[in-house]
Amino acid sequence: MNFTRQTIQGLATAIFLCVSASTAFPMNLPITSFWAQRKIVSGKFPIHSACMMPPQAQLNRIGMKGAEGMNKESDNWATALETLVESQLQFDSIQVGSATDPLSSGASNAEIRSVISQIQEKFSSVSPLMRKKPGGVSKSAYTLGDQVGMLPCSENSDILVFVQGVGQLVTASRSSMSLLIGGPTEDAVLFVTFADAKTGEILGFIQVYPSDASLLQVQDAFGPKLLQQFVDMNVGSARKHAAARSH
Amino acid sequence: MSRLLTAICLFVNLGILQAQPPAAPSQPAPLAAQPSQSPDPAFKFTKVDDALRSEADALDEQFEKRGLVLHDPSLQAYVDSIGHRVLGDRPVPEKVTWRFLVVSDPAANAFALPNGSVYLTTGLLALLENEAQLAGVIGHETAHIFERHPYLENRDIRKKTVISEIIATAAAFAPGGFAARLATAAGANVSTLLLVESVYGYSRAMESQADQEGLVSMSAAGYDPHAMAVAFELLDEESSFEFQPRSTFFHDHPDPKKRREDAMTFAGAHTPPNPRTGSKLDYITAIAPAIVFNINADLESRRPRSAVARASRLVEVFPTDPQYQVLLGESYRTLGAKSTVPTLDELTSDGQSRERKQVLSMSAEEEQRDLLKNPANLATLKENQTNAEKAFLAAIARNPDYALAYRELGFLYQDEGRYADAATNYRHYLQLVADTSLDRLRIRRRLAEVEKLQAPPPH
Repeated sequence: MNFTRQTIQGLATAIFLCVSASTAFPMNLPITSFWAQRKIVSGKFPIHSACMMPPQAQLNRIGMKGAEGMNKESDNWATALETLVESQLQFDSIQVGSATDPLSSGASNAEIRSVISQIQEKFSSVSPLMRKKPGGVSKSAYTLGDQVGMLPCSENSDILVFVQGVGQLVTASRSSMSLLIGGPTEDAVLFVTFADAKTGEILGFIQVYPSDASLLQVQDAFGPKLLQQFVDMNVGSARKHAAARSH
Repeated sequence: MSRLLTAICLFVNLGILQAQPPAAPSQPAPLAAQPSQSPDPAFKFTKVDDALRSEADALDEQFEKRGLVLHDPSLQAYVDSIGHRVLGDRPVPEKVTWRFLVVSDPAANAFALPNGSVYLTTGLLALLENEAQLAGVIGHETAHIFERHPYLENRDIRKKTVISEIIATAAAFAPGGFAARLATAAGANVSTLLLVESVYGYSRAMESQADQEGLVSMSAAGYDPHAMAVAFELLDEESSFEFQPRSTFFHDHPDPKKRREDAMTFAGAHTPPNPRTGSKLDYITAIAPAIVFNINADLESRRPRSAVARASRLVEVFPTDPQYQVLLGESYRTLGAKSTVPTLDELTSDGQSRERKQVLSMSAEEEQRDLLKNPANLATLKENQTNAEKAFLAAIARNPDYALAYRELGFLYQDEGRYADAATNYRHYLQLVADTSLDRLRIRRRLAEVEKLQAPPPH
């Protein structure tokens, strides 16, 4: 009888500790990281110019009565994430262009949109694999094919940049409830993928989890960590800037 | 599509095939002969319903913004005409604006948003065979709107999502870091899931009701309801044809056999006199732009078998059109070492699980390398390459100035290591193609590459 009671007490304590830990330290496993081909990290493939693909992001809000859609806010968030990555690249001395820009190609918007759509379709079939086995990036396992060369910006860019984000917001009341009894907390992940603008080969893949700042303040939430990933990955002049900062 | 399509389409992939089966046999289906005239008058809109409708409006905008909606005037006119014929003169429900749209997605699917937008995927259009089958699908989807199913299901789902949040949160703090974080990310797409479940994952009773209402609507519009039974059959066959590397919800619940039987029962009693079916030729002529679009999407989303089947259908009907010959050749080339139809081994549960593993854990290139470990597949590769070459040469024979045929032939020869032949065809392509073609740069790069490869090694 005593044994049973002790077991139940032990289990109850374990459950309590698990719930407490999860609610008190909701961001205790932020595995921000990157995977890249050696030629990127070593600087043998220097990145001087980048072409931004249209961003893809989805935000959701959880309230007391369940989930609420945020399709409109998702669009704004996607733009904010794109701007963050773009400004970070520019800060690291990388010239940035847009995939939707016809430049001097003479192509119509519809033609460019069709090419972008094809490339996005291909990226959609590659990215789940890449997230599942990110180590494959350093082994040149993933490619979008040389059709990326059909984008007008490909001619003058070293890389194509794909920005993807998924985020979950929690209303104030739900957040309070989560603190008390556990439950959903604010969370998100930002994925940045670099592909060779000529061959379509995936060169680098970064995943960034937010700091404690609000997800909607993208610069504060993701900026510092993204900057560090760019330094580690040796993107543009990121290392030079980091060295200057440390002095 | 898949496709990711974009982020939205990663989750939008259920539809008519994946819908839950209709009511159990013990509940006989109502055999009404006239479609319902208007939605339930007792339905009162709440704040939650309005929020769902504005989400649907936002989703419409996103589909447009992401370039997923096909804007081909003749195709649009065709789909509109069938849609309005099925709707008949029934009053438009409150807060509904009927729109019939074709969306680029290789998965055979159809769905309706609560605001009245009815989406038909290119995959579905490419799979169906005649106008009556399409009318049946449209009848099914519009029935969901007439009966306010998205709103009713949404009200129900809001209670259920609390469970999924807890699951997602538990996953977030489980040991494992990266994988757990991804689980949260996947679970966090609740708003899309919410909407998608509202439009796809209806209860059995609702699906059964939409099936019946759809049959009633199509027959009231003069279509042969037997066509709906055939549509269910086609959708059933499609599901075993090729693995779909898309996330799905309720994917393992379809019972098309039961739905087919119900449709046959209805048709037996309610087929209108001189029913309209529409010829296969008229149908394929009208939807050819969607099929072309879909073949390209199939090729990008690792569905080469579907691409071959669809391109073959176009070539069979329009043998003199070089565009379709080139698409067929491209599909065979992409098929590589895979057979055109599933082998008996692939149809077994072990075979299906192996294919699933190949698609989910290998890139397309890795999959091909893996297939070629089996010497028997080498013969399949050769056969597919021969078929591809035949199709490209047939296109050139029909129209010697058809540039794309030379480009594709160049790709094929480069794959086969015939660099000199590849270079000749790339040059030919560059001579024929317009100066503004977005492809010139890519082909110039390819040409430089094959010229380098065919050059004799320096002594």
